[in-house]
Amino acid sequence: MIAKENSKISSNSDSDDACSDAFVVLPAGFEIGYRKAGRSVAGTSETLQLGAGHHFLLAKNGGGKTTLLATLAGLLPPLNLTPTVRGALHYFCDDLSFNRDLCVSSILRVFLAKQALARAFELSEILEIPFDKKYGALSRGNKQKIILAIAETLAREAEEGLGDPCVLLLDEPISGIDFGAREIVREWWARPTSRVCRLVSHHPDEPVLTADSVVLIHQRKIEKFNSGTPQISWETLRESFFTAA
Amino acid sequence: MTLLTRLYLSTILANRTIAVLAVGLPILAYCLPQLVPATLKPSLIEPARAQAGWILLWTVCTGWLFLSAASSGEEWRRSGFLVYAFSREAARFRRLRLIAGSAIGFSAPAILFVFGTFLTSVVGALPGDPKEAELWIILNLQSGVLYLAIVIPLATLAFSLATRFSSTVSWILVSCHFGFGFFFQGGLAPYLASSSLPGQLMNLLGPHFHLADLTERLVFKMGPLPFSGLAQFLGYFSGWGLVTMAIAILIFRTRQ
Repeated sequence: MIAKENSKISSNSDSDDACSDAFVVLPAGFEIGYRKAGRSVAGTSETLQLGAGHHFLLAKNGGGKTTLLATLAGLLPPLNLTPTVRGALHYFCDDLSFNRDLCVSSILRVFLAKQALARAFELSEILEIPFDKKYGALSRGNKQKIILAIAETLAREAEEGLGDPCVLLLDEPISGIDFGAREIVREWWARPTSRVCRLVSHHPDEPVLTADSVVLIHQRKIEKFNSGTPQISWETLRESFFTAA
Repeated sequence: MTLLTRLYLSTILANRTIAVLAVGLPILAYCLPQLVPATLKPSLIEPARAQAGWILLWTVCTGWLFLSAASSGEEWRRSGFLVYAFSREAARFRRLRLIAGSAIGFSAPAILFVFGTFLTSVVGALPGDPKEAELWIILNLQSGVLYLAIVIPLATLAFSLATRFSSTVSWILVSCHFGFGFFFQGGLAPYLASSSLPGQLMNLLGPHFHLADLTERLVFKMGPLPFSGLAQFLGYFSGWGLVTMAIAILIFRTRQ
Protein backbone atom coordinates (compact mmCIF):
# COMPACT_ATOMS: atom_id res chain seq x y z
CA MET A 1 0.00 0.00 0.00
CA ILE A 2 1.61 3.21 1.03
CA ALA A 3 4.87 3.33 2.86
CA LYS A 4 6.15 6.38 4.60
CA GLU A 5 9.47 7.22 3.02
CA ASN A 6 12.38 5.87 5.01
CA SER A 7 14.99 8.35 4.13
CA LYS A 8 18.57 7.35 4.76
CA ILE A 9 19.68 10.94 4.46
CA SER A 10 20.05 12.77 7.68
CA SER A 11 21.87 15.96 6.85
CA ASN A 12 22.03 18.45 3.99
CA SER A 13 25.70 17.83 3.29
CA ASP A 14 25.18 14.10 2.94
CA SER A 15 22.21 14.57 0.70
CA ASP A 16 23.97 16.06 -2.30
CA ASP A 17 25.02 12.81 -3.99
CA ALA A 18 21.95 10.84 -3.05
CA CYS A 19 19.71 13.63 -4.32
CA SER A 20 21.39 13.98 -7.70
CA ASP A 21 18.40 12.44 -9.51
CA ALA A 22 15.88 14.41 -7.52
CA PHE A 23 14.16 17.37 -9.12
CA VAL A 24 12.99 18.80 -5.80
CA VAL A 25 14.76 18.37 -2.49
CA LEU A 26 13.36 19.64 0.78
CA PRO A 27 16.12 19.34 3.39
CA ALA A 28 15.47 18.03 6.89
CA GLY A 29 14.32 20.83 9.15
CA PHE A 30 13.07 22.92 6.22
CA GLU A 31 10.18 25.18 7.19
CA ILE A 32 7.62 27.08 5.15
CA GLY A 33 5.72 30.09 6.37
CA TYR A 34 5.70 33.85 6.40
CA ARG A 35 8.93 35.50 7.40
CA LYS A 36 7.48 38.98 7.96
CA ALA A 37 4.79 37.64 10.28
CA GLY A 38 7.28 35.24 11.83
CA ARG A 39 4.78 32.42 11.32
CA SER A 40 5.81 28.89 10.46
CA VAL A 41 3.13 26.87 8.66
CA ALA A 42 4.80 23.47 8.38
CA GLY A 43 8.19 21.80 8.17
CA THR A 44 10.03 18.60 7.35
CA SER A 45 11.65 16.33 9.90
CA GLU A 46 13.69 14.45 7.30
CA THR A 47 14.92 15.15 3.79
CA LEU A 48 12.23 14.73 1.12
CA GLN A 49 13.10 14.11 -2.49
CA LEU A 50 10.83 14.25 -5.48
CA GLY A 51 12.17 12.64 -8.60
CA ALA A 52 10.75 12.48 -12.09
CA GLY A 53 7.10 11.53 -12.07
CA HIS A 54 3.84 12.65 -10.66
CA HIS A 55 3.43 13.70 -7.03
CA PHE A 56 0.32 14.81 -5.25
CA LEU A 57 0.37 17.51 -2.63
CA LEU A 58 -2.45 17.14 -0.14
CA ALA A 59 -3.47 19.18 2.86
CA LYS A 60 -6.55 20.65 4.43
CA ASN A 61 -7.68 24.15 3.53
CA GLY A 62 -5.08 26.59 4.79
CA GLY A 63 -2.78 23.68 5.52
CA GLY A 64 0.12 25.08 3.52
CA LYS A 65 -0.22 23.66 -0.01
CA THR A 66 0.02 27.02 -1.74
CA THR A 67 2.65 28.21 0.74
CA LEU A 68 4.86 25.25 -0.11
CA LEU A 69 4.39 25.72 -3.87
CA ALA A 70 5.06 29.46 -3.61
CA THR A 71 8.20 28.79 -1.57
CA LEU A 72 9.47 26.32 -4.16
CA ALA A 73 8.73 28.87 -6.88
CA GLY A 74 10.78 31.51 -5.06
CA LEU A 75 7.82 33.75 -4.34
CA LEU A 76 8.08 33.29 -0.60
CA PRO A 77 11.44 33.18 1.12
CA PRO A 78 11.98 29.95 3.10
CA LEU A 79 12.10 30.50 6.84
CA ASN A 80 15.40 28.71 7.37
CA LEU A 81 16.83 26.24 4.83
CA THR A 82 16.66 26.61 1.07
CA PRO A 83 14.94 23.93 -1.02
CA THR A 84 16.62 22.70 -4.19
CA VAL A 85 14.73 22.74 -7.48
CA ARG A 86 16.47 21.35 -10.56
CA GLY A 87 15.01 21.99 -13.99
CA ALA A 88 12.92 24.67 -15.64
CA LEU A 89 10.33 25.66 -13.08
CA HIS A 90 6.74 26.53 -14.01
CA TYR A 91 4.34 27.52 -11.25
CA PHE A 92 0.68 27.68 -12.25
CA CYS A 93 -1.21 29.19 -9.33
CA ASP A 94 -4.83 28.23 -8.73
CA ASP A 95 -6.33 31.50 -9.96
CA LEU A 96 -4.21 32.07 -13.06
CA SER A 97 -6.36 33.89 -15.60
CA PHE A 98 -6.06 36.21 -18.60
CA ASN A 99 -7.56 39.24 -20.26
CA ARG A 100 -11.11 38.48 -21.36
CA ASP A 101 -10.45 39.72 -24.92
CA LEU A 102 -7.70 37.19 -25.58
CA CYS A 103 -8.44 34.13 -27.66
CA VAL A 104 -7.19 30.66 -26.74
CA SER A 105 -4.53 30.55 -29.45
CA SER A 106 -3.06 33.89 -28.29
CA ILE A 107 -2.75 32.55 -24.76
CA LEU A 108 -0.97 29.42 -25.99
CA ARG A 109 1.40 31.59 -28.05
CA VAL A 110 2.29 33.65 -24.98
CA PHE A 111 3.37 30.57 -23.01
CA LEU A 112 4.83 28.27 -25.63
CA ALA A 113 7.55 28.34 -28.23
CA LYS A 114 6.52 28.17 -31.90
CA GLN A 115 7.57 24.54 -32.33
CA ALA A 116 5.37 23.48 -29.40
CA LEU A 117 2.20 25.13 -30.65
CA ALA A 118 1.02 22.29 -32.88
CA ARG A 119 1.13 19.91 -29.93
CA ALA A 120 -0.63 22.44 -27.70
CA PHE A 121 -3.45 22.83 -30.23
CA GLU A 122 -3.74 19.05 -30.48
CA LEU A 123 -3.96 18.64 -26.69
CA SER A 124 -6.45 21.51 -26.49
CA GLU A 125 -8.66 19.76 -29.01
CA ILE A 126 -8.51 16.54 -26.99
CA LEU A 127 -9.71 18.52 -23.98
CA GLU A 128 -12.45 20.08 -26.14
CA ILE A 129 -11.46 23.67 -25.47
CA PRO A 130 -13.62 25.90 -27.68
CA PHE A 131 -11.17 27.83 -29.87
CA ASP A 132 -13.79 30.12 -31.36
CA LYS A 133 -14.54 31.83 -28.06
CA LYS A 134 -12.66 34.58 -26.30
CA TYR A 135 -11.24 33.88 -22.85
CA GLY A 136 -13.92 35.96 -21.13
CA ALA A 137 -16.66 33.82 -22.67
CA LEU A 138 -15.20 30.51 -21.51
CA SER A 139 -16.57 28.59 -18.54
CA ARG A 140 -14.41 28.12 -15.44
CA GLY A 141 -13.68 24.53 -16.41
CA ASN A 142 -12.57 25.46 -19.93
CA LYS A 143 -10.33 28.20 -18.54
CA GLN A 144 -8.73 25.59 -16.31
CA LYS A 145 -8.26 23.26 -19.27
CA ILE A 146 -6.10 25.86 -21.03
CA ILE A 147 -3.66 25.76 -18.11
CA LEU A 148 -3.66 21.95 -18.21
CA ALA A 149 -2.99 21.95 -21.97
CA ILE A 150 -0.07 24.37 -21.53
CA ALA A 151 1.41 22.36 -18.66
CA GLU A 152 1.07 19.08 -20.56
CA THR A 153 2.66 20.56 -23.67
CA LEU A 154 5.63 21.75 -21.61
CA ALA A 155 5.90 18.30 -20.04
CA ARG A 156 5.85 16.45 -23.37
CA GLU A 157 8.35 18.84 -24.94
CA ALA A 158 10.65 18.21 -22.00
CA GLU A 159 10.08 14.46 -22.13
CA GLU A 160 11.03 14.30 -25.78
CA GLY A 161 14.16 16.37 -25.22
CA LEU A 162 12.76 19.37 -27.09
CA GLY A 163 12.80 21.43 -23.92
CA ASP A 164 14.71 21.45 -20.64
CA PRO A 165 13.74 18.96 -17.92
CA CYS A 166 11.04 20.70 -15.99
CA VAL A 167 9.38 20.97 -12.63
CA LEU A 168 5.66 21.74 -12.91
CA LEU A 169 3.99 23.10 -9.81
CA LEU A 170 0.23 23.01 -10.31
CA ASP A 171 -2.11 24.40 -7.71
CA GLU A 172 -5.50 22.67 -7.81
CA PRO A 173 -5.54 22.35 -11.60
CA ILE A 174 -8.45 19.95 -11.98
CA SER A 175 -10.96 21.71 -9.77
CA GLY A 176 -13.87 22.75 -11.95
CA ILE A 177 -13.20 20.56 -14.97
CA ASP A 178 -15.66 17.93 -16.13
CA PHE A 179 -15.37 14.20 -15.50
CA GLY A 180 -14.27 13.31 -19.04
CA ALA A 181 -11.45 15.83 -19.01
CA ARG A 182 -10.36 14.61 -15.57
CA GLU A 183 -9.99 11.11 -16.95
CA ILE A 184 -7.94 12.37 -19.89
CA VAL A 185 -5.68 14.40 -17.61
CA ARG A 186 -5.31 11.46 -15.25
CA GLU A 187 -4.10 9.34 -18.18
CA TRP A 188 -1.66 12.04 -19.22
CA TRP A 189 -0.24 12.21 -15.73
CA ALA A 190 0.09 8.43 -15.52
CA ARG A 191 2.52 8.33 -18.49
CA PRO A 192 6.01 7.31 -17.42
CA THR A 193 8.52 10.13 -17.46
CA SER A 194 12.18 10.69 -16.70
CA ARG A 195 12.50 14.42 -17.38
CA VAL A 196 9.40 15.88 -15.76
CA CYS A 197 8.49 16.30 -12.10
CA ARG A 198 4.89 17.30 -11.42
CA LEU A 199 3.84 18.41 -7.98
CA VAL A 200 0.09 18.85 -8.06
CA SER A 201 -1.95 20.12 -5.16
CA HIS A 202 -5.47 18.89 -4.53
CA HIS A 203 -8.22 19.10 -2.04
CA PRO A 204 -8.30 15.70 -0.35
CA ASP A 205 -11.68 14.90 -1.86
CA GLU A 206 -10.47 12.97 -4.89
CA PRO A 207 -11.90 9.43 -4.67
CA VAL A 208 -8.92 7.80 -6.36
CA LEU A 209 -5.46 9.21 -6.82
CA THR A 210 -2.80 7.90 -9.16
CA ALA A 211 0.65 9.14 -8.38
CA ASP A 212 4.23 8.13 -7.73
CA SER A 213 4.08 9.65 -4.29
CA VAL A 214 2.02 11.87 -2.07
CA VAL A 215 3.35 14.81 -0.13
CA LEU A 216 1.05 15.37 2.78
CA ILE A 217 0.99 18.42 5.01
CA HIS A 218 -0.72 17.57 8.24
CA GLN A 219 -0.37 18.90 11.77
CA ARG A 220 2.40 21.25 10.59
CA LYS A 221 4.47 18.38 9.21
CA ILE A 222 5.47 17.85 5.59
CA GLU A 223 5.82 14.15 4.88
CA LYS A 224 6.11 12.03 1.80
CA PHE A 225 4.40 8.72 1.13
CA ASN A 226 5.59 6.50 -1.68
CA SER A 227 2.98 4.50 -3.48
CA GLY A 228 3.40 0.75 -3.37
CA THR A 229 0.58 0.36 -5.85
CA PRO A 230 -0.43 2.78 -8.57
CA GLN A 231 -3.78 3.42 -6.92
CA ILE A 232 -3.83 5.43 -3.75
CA SER A 233 -7.12 6.05 -2.06
CA TRP A 234 -7.42 9.02 0.19
CA GLU A 235 -8.97 6.88 2.91
CA THR A 236 -5.98 4.55 2.89
CA LEU A 237 -3.62 7.44 2.82
CA ARG A 238 -5.31 9.04 5.78
CA GLU A 239 -5.22 5.80 7.74
CA SER A 240 -1.57 5.33 6.92
CA PHE A 241 -0.77 8.87 7.89
CA PHE A 242 -2.44 8.62 11.26
CA THR A 243 -0.75 5.30 11.89
CA ALA A 244 2.61 6.78 10.98
CA ALA A 245 1.98 9.86 13.05
CA MET B 1 10.59 38.35 -26.36
CA THR B 2 9.82 37.81 -22.71
CA LEU B 3 6.55 36.47 -21.35
CA LEU B 4 5.42 39.90 -20.21
CA THR B 5 6.24 41.44 -23.57
CA ARG B 6 4.31 38.75 -25.43
CA LEU B 7 1.27 38.96 -23.17
CA TYR B 8 1.18 42.77 -23.28
CA LEU B 9 1.38 42.85 -27.06
CA SER B 10 -1.26 40.12 -27.40
CA THR B 11 -3.58 41.99 -25.04
CA ILE B 12 -3.34 45.39 -26.71
CA LEU B 13 -3.81 43.80 -30.12
CA ALA B 14 -6.83 41.89 -28.86
CA ASN B 15 -8.67 44.92 -27.53
CA ARG B 16 -7.97 46.92 -30.69
CA THR B 17 -7.66 50.36 -29.04
CA ILE B 18 -4.13 50.63 -30.33
CA ALA B 19 -5.34 50.17 -33.90
CA VAL B 20 -7.86 52.98 -33.44
CA LEU B 21 -5.15 55.26 -32.03
CA ALA B 22 -2.47 54.32 -34.55
CA VAL B 23 -4.76 54.95 -37.51
CA GLY B 24 -7.12 57.56 -36.10
CA LEU B 25 -4.70 60.04 -34.59
CA PRO B 26 -2.55 60.63 -37.69
CA ILE B 27 -5.75 61.17 -39.68
CA LEU B 28 -7.04 63.51 -37.00
CA ALA B 29 -3.75 65.42 -36.95
CA TYR B 30 -3.90 65.75 -40.72
CA CYS B 31 -7.48 66.97 -40.78
CA LEU B 32 -7.80 69.09 -37.63
CA PRO B 33 -5.97 72.15 -39.03
CA GLN B 34 -8.56 72.29 -41.84
CA LEU B 35 -11.28 73.01 -39.29
CA VAL B 36 -9.78 76.31 -38.12
CA PRO B 37 -10.11 79.39 -40.40
CA ALA B 38 -6.94 78.42 -42.24
CA THR B 39 -8.00 80.17 -45.41
CA LEU B 40 -6.77 83.37 -43.77
CA LYS B 41 -3.21 82.10 -44.10
CA PRO B 42 -2.97 78.75 -45.94
CA SER B 43 0.79 78.52 -45.40
CA LEU B 44 0.13 77.85 -41.70
CA ILE B 45 -1.76 74.62 -42.37
CA GLU B 46 1.32 72.49 -42.87
CA PRO B 47 3.14 73.44 -39.64
CA ALA B 48 -0.20 73.18 -37.86
CA ARG B 49 -0.44 69.53 -38.95
CA ALA B 50 2.93 68.78 -37.42
CA GLN B 51 1.94 70.66 -34.27
CA ALA B 52 -1.37 68.78 -34.01
CA GLY B 53 0.38 65.44 -34.54
CA TRP B 54 2.96 65.97 -31.82
CA ILE B 55 0.45 67.47 -29.38
CA LEU B 56 -1.84 64.47 -29.85
CA LEU B 57 1.15 62.18 -29.31
CA TRP B 58 2.21 63.92 -26.09
CA THR B 59 -1.32 63.99 -24.68
CA VAL B 60 -3.61 61.26 -26.02
CA CYS B 61 -1.04 58.57 -26.80
CA THR B 62 0.88 59.18 -23.59
CA GLY B 63 -2.30 59.06 -21.53
CA TRP B 64 -3.36 55.82 -23.20
CA LEU B 65 0.08 54.27 -22.78
CA PHE B 66 0.14 55.04 -19.04
CA LEU B 67 -3.40 53.71 -18.67
CA SER B 68 -2.62 50.57 -20.61
CA ALA B 69 0.54 49.93 -18.58
CA ALA B 70 -1.26 50.53 -15.29
CA SER B 71 -4.17 48.28 -16.31
CA SER B 72 -1.75 45.50 -17.23
CA GLY B 73 0.03 45.80 -13.90
CA GLU B 74 -3.18 45.51 -11.89
CA GLU B 75 -4.70 42.79 -14.07
CA TRP B 76 -1.59 40.60 -14.09
CA ARG B 77 -1.17 40.94 -10.35
CA ARG B 78 -4.78 39.89 -9.77
CA SER B 79 -4.72 37.13 -12.39
CA GLY B 80 -1.61 35.42 -11.05
CA PHE B 81 0.29 35.88 -14.30
CA LEU B 82 3.06 37.79 -12.53
CA VAL B 83 3.43 34.84 -10.18
CA TYR B 84 4.00 32.54 -13.16
CA ALA B 85 6.38 34.99 -14.84
CA PHE B 86 8.31 35.42 -11.58
CA SER B 87 8.67 31.65 -11.20
CA ARG B 88 10.08 31.40 -14.73
CA GLU B 89 12.98 33.76 -14.06
CA ALA B 90 16.27 32.67 -12.58
CA ALA B 91 16.71 33.75 -8.98
CA ARG B 92 19.18 36.58 -9.63
CA PHE B 93 17.79 39.91 -10.84
CA ARG B 94 14.26 38.53 -11.25
CA ARG B 95 12.59 41.87 -10.67
CA LEU B 96 14.99 43.66 -12.97
CA ARG B 97 14.33 41.19 -15.78
CA LEU B 98 10.56 41.35 -15.35
CA ILE B 99 10.57 45.14 -15.33
CA ALA B 100 12.85 45.19 -18.39
CA GLY B 101 10.49 42.77 -20.15
CA SER B 102 7.50 44.99 -19.44
CA ALA B 103 9.43 48.08 -20.62
CA ILE B 104 10.14 46.36 -23.94
CA GLY B 105 6.41 45.68 -24.26
CA PHE B 106 5.48 49.33 -23.60
CA SER B 107 8.10 50.55 -26.05
CA ALA B 108 6.36 48.77 -28.95
CA PRO B 109 3.16 50.90 -29.01
CA ALA B 110 5.20 54.00 -28.14
CA ILE B 111 7.41 53.43 -31.20
CA LEU B 112 4.32 52.80 -33.32
CA PHE B 113 2.78 56.09 -32.20
CA VAL B 114 6.01 57.98 -32.86
CA PHE B 115 6.22 56.41 -36.29
CA GLY B 116 2.62 57.44 -37.06
CA THR B 117 3.28 60.99 -35.90
CA PHE B 118 6.53 61.13 -37.85
CA LEU B 119 4.70 60.03 -40.99
CA THR B 120 1.97 62.62 -40.44
CA SER B 121 4.52 65.34 -39.98
CA VAL B 122 6.60 64.31 -42.99
CA VAL B 123 3.74 63.53 -45.35
CA GLY B 124 1.57 66.45 -44.26
CA ALA B 125 4.13 69.18 -43.74
CA LEU B 126 7.46 68.41 -45.44
CA PRO B 127 9.07 71.63 -46.74
CA GLY B 128 9.61 71.83 -50.51
CA ASP B 129 13.24 72.88 -50.26
CA PRO B 130 15.46 69.73 -50.06
CA LYS B 131 17.81 71.23 -47.44
CA GLU B 132 14.88 72.31 -45.27
CA ALA B 133 13.24 68.92 -45.80
CA GLU B 134 16.32 67.15 -44.48
CA LEU B 135 16.43 69.38 -41.39
CA TRP B 136 12.68 68.81 -40.94
CA ILE B 137 13.14 65.04 -40.92
CA ILE B 138 16.05 65.24 -38.47
CA LEU B 139 14.02 67.46 -36.13
CA ASN B 140 11.09 65.03 -36.20
CA LEU B 141 13.39 62.12 -35.47
CA GLN B 142 14.88 64.03 -32.53
CA SER B 143 11.38 64.68 -31.19
CA GLY B 144 10.59 60.98 -31.45
CA VAL B 145 13.74 59.88 -29.64
CA LEU B 146 13.17 62.36 -26.80
CA TYR B 147 9.54 61.24 -26.52
CA LEU B 148 10.57 57.59 -26.14
CA ALA B 149 13.27 58.48 -23.59
CA ILE B 150 10.64 60.07 -21.35
CA VAL B 151 7.57 57.96 -21.88
CA ILE B 152 8.88 54.37 -21.69
CA PRO B 153 10.32 54.63 -18.13
CA LEU B 154 7.16 56.43 -16.97
CA ALA B 155 4.92 53.72 -18.47
CA THR B 156 7.04 51.12 -16.66
CA LEU B 157 6.58 53.07 -13.44
CA ALA B 158 2.80 53.13 -14.03
CA PHE B 159 2.88 49.35 -14.49
CA SER B 160 4.92 48.80 -11.36
CA LEU B 161 2.83 51.14 -9.19
CA ALA B 162 -0.31 49.30 -10.30
CA THR B 163 1.10 45.99 -9.07
CA ARG B 164 1.19 47.49 -5.58
CA PHE B 165 -1.78 49.87 -5.58
CA SER B 166 -4.56 50.10 -8.19
CA SER B 167 -4.44 51.08 -11.84
CA THR B 168 -6.39 54.28 -11.13
CA VAL B 169 -4.02 55.47 -8.42
CA SER B 170 -1.06 54.53 -10.54
CA TRP B 171 -2.36 56.30 -13.64
CA ILE B 172 -3.18 59.48 -11.70
CA LEU B 173 0.22 59.59 -9.97
CA VAL B 174 2.25 59.03 -13.13
CA SER B 175 0.09 61.37 -15.23
CA CYS B 176 0.41 64.13 -12.62
CA HIS B 177 4.17 63.62 -12.48
CA PHE B 178 4.39 63.75 -16.27
CA GLY B 179 1.95 66.67 -16.54
CA PHE B 180 3.85 68.69 -13.96
CA GLY B 181 7.14 68.15 -15.74
CA PHE B 182 5.72 68.72 -19.21
CA PHE B 183 3.23 71.54 -18.75
CA PHE B 184 4.16 73.40 -15.56
CA GLN B 185 7.82 72.94 -14.73
CA GLY B 186 8.93 75.00 -17.74
CA GLY B 187 6.59 77.87 -17.00
CA LEU B 188 7.41 77.88 -13.30
CA ALA B 189 11.17 77.63 -13.78
CA PRO B 190 11.90 81.40 -13.86
CA TYR B 191 9.85 82.00 -10.70
CA LEU B 192 11.21 78.99 -8.86
CA ALA B 193 14.82 79.81 -9.74
CA SER B 194 14.55 83.22 -8.11
CA SER B 195 12.45 82.11 -5.13
CA SER B 196 13.31 80.61 -1.76
CA LEU B 197 15.38 77.47 -1.20
CA PRO B 198 12.44 74.98 -1.52
CA GLY B 199 11.46 76.58 -4.82
CA GLN B 200 15.02 76.47 -6.10
CA LEU B 201 15.27 72.82 -5.07
CA MET B 202 12.03 72.05 -6.87
CA ASN B 203 13.38 73.72 -9.97
CA LEU B 204 16.63 71.79 -9.68
CA LEU B 205 15.19 68.37 -8.87
CA GLY B 206 11.87 68.57 -10.72
CA PRO B 207 11.35 66.74 -13.99
CA HIS B 208 11.96 69.15 -16.88
CA PHE B 209 10.08 67.06 -19.42
CA HIS B 210 9.09 70.21 -21.31
CA LEU B 211 12.61 70.27 -22.73
CA ALA B 212 11.68 67.31 -24.93
CA ASP B 213 8.82 69.21 -26.55
CA LEU B 214 10.28 70.46 -29.83
CA THR B 215 6.92 71.54 -31.25
CA GLU B 216 7.94 75.21 -31.31
CA ARG B 217 10.97 74.34 -33.37
CA LEU B 218 8.69 72.52 -35.79
CA VAL B 219 6.10 75.27 -36.02
CA PHE B 220 8.60 78.09 -36.49
CA LYS B 221 10.97 75.94 -38.58
CA MET B 222 13.91 76.60 -36.29
CA GLY B 223 15.78 73.49 -37.42
CA PRO B 224 16.99 70.54 -35.36
CA LEU B 225 18.78 70.70 -32.03
CA PRO B 226 22.57 70.82 -32.28
CA PHE B 227 24.20 67.50 -31.46
CA SER B 228 25.60 68.74 -28.14
CA GLY B 229 22.17 69.99 -27.07
CA LEU B 230 20.50 66.72 -28.04
CA ALA B 231 23.16 64.73 -26.16
CA GLN B 232 22.62 66.87 -23.06
CA PHE B 233 18.87 66.36 -23.19
CA LEU B 234 19.25 62.64 -23.77
CA GLY B 235 21.70 62.40 -20.87
CA TYR B 236 19.29 64.28 -18.62
CA PHE B 237 16.30 62.14 -19.60
CA SER B 238 18.34 58.94 -19.35
CA GLY B 239 19.21 59.90 -15.78
CA TRP B 240 15.53 60.45 -15.04
CA GLY B 241 14.76 57.18 -16.77
CA LEU B 242 17.24 55.26 -14.64
CA VAL B 243 15.85 56.76 -11.43
CA THR B 244 12.30 55.98 -12.58
CA MET B 245 13.18 52.39 -13.50
CA ALA B 246 14.96 51.89 -10.16
CA ILE B 247 11.83 53.06 -8.33
CA ALA B 248 9.74 50.74 -10.53
CA ILE B 249 11.92 47.76 -9.61
CA LEU B 250 11.66 48.57 -5.90
CA ILE B 251 7.89 49.03 -5.98
CA PHE B 252 7.10 46.01 -8.18
CA ARG B 253 5.41 43.03 -6.58
CA THR B 254 3.74 39.92 -7.87
CA ARG B 255 0.90 39.65 -5.36
CA GLN B 256 -1.02 42.17 -3.28
